[in-house]
Amino acid sequence: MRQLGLGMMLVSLLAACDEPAPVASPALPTVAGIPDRDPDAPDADGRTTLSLWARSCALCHVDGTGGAPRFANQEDWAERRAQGEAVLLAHTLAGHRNMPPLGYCMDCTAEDFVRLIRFMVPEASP
Amino acid sequence: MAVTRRDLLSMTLAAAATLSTPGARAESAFRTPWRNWSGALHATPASRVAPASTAELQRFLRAGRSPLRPVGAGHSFSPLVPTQGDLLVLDRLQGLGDVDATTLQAQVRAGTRLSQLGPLLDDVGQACWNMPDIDRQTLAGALSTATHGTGDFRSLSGYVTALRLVTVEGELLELDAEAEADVDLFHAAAVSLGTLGIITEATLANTRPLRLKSRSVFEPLETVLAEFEARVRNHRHFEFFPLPYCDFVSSLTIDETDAPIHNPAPTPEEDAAMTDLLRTLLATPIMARRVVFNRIVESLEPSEAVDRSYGILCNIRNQRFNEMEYSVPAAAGMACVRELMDTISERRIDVTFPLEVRYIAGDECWLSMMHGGPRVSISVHEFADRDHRPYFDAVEPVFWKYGGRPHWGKVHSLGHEQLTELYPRFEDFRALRARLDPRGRLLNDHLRTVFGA
Repeated sequence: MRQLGLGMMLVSLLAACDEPAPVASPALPTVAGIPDRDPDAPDADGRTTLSLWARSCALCHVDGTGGAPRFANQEDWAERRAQGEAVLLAHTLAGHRNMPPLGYCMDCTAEDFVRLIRFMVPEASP
Repeated sequence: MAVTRRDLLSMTLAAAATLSTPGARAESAFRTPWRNWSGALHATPASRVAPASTAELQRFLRAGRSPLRPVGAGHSFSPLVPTQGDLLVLDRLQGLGDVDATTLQAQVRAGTRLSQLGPLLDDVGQACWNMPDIDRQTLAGALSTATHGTGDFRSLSGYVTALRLVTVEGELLELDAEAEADVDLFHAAAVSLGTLGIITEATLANTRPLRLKSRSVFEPLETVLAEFEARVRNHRHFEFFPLPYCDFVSSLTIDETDAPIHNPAPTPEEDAAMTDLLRTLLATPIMARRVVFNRIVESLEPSEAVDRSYGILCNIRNQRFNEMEYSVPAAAGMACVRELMDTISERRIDVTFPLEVRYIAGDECWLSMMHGGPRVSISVHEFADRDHRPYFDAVEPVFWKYGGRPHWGKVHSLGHEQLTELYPRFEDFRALRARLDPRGRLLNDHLRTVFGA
């Protein structure tokens, strides 16, 4: 429903949130045993991490739809990165908040998802 | 099958360990679980298969592995997809094929997301006549379940003029709506739940690109019930959202316009506002909800937006839910809505999620909910993290009373015997299905119940 009026009313009812404090950016703990691969390197079936991302994750992770952390955005990923790949993978498989299970990638395996997570999460800022 | 978040984390960590085997593909060591959009349906497919071409799909099907189920975006709430066999994904078959600028027809590959379809068609000077509320689905998934929007337009399947269907034996069938020899198979295949074969392309009859203006307003339920038919007749699109324990509905009217585009994306706060309100109301005693809800919505201002047609007709639904939808004969629509609202109130059903009421023109597809004439579709929803069964179980008999046909992709409890009474060509479809897939490779438990197979 395009009820911006209702939205504004609810916004006014909600307590104002403080600006988020800067968050430290620890490195992403990795899921052992899944080697890195270039995002544009094809797998045995000719699929690349980039192509999987473009037709699934990008539906929400470009604009931040539904609160999705935006691609390579330090602020969006800082706290999530600290949780580690295993937790992010579990969230991806089961769905988390507004993100549907499997993130619209029906042919992705757990290994694919780990690589997609690595592709989207930026390097830790110094 | 209950899988907790803790279970999934354990499985994930176990998978991580096994994936260290050199050269092992994930599915050989760990069956990546499948879940639908709402999270209510689970399966552990033996493998995932994503052919990059029709020829690849034919080779896979000819190999004769069994069983298998095709999946689109996983947006169905009914268990059409769950399989312990192969999960067939068409996401690599995307984009437009042949485009006819004279007849305004375009061939669209099966895995194309509806969210991609609007811009793709716009680029070639075409637009869908109508689109559904949610646009994350694939074209094949939407066609297979007679997915629809609102207004005096047919479902998406009703605009298909040709189909390419690969049978489970790997034979490619080219079906034309105008070809006399194809007519039965065409009208069966255009809405076929992925049980006659695998759709790889569909040719859509389209219109010129157009700009639409939407107007959303809260108004009394009784006014909208009385004027529904006239509003459907007088506007390009009309639908409304009845609110449980509220005397007002949110109505949405959409018409063509030449006005400049103005469709700002909602802020995250606005985006979450309705969900926050509905969650807050859930914490309010049922007896008090009508007073609270009426007071809030009475004061709200209308909202308007102008955009290309696909930017107005489709919405992003961030809040995950489960849904039941039945389509009743158009003449019975408002009586059914009234009885549903009364049932919720009289039984004190603990729900705040709005219903959705739409109008759809009739079509000729055998398993279309709109086969034989126009219907009013009525949807009920519940948050994905709440048990939807008590609510849906309570209202489903109301739909039956009005001759409702269940949406194939949404929760329902009907089997072969009841469905045969609702669809005049159901037995014909069953016979055709049995002929094209005699071993039942494309069936799962749910579909065996639906088709009595």
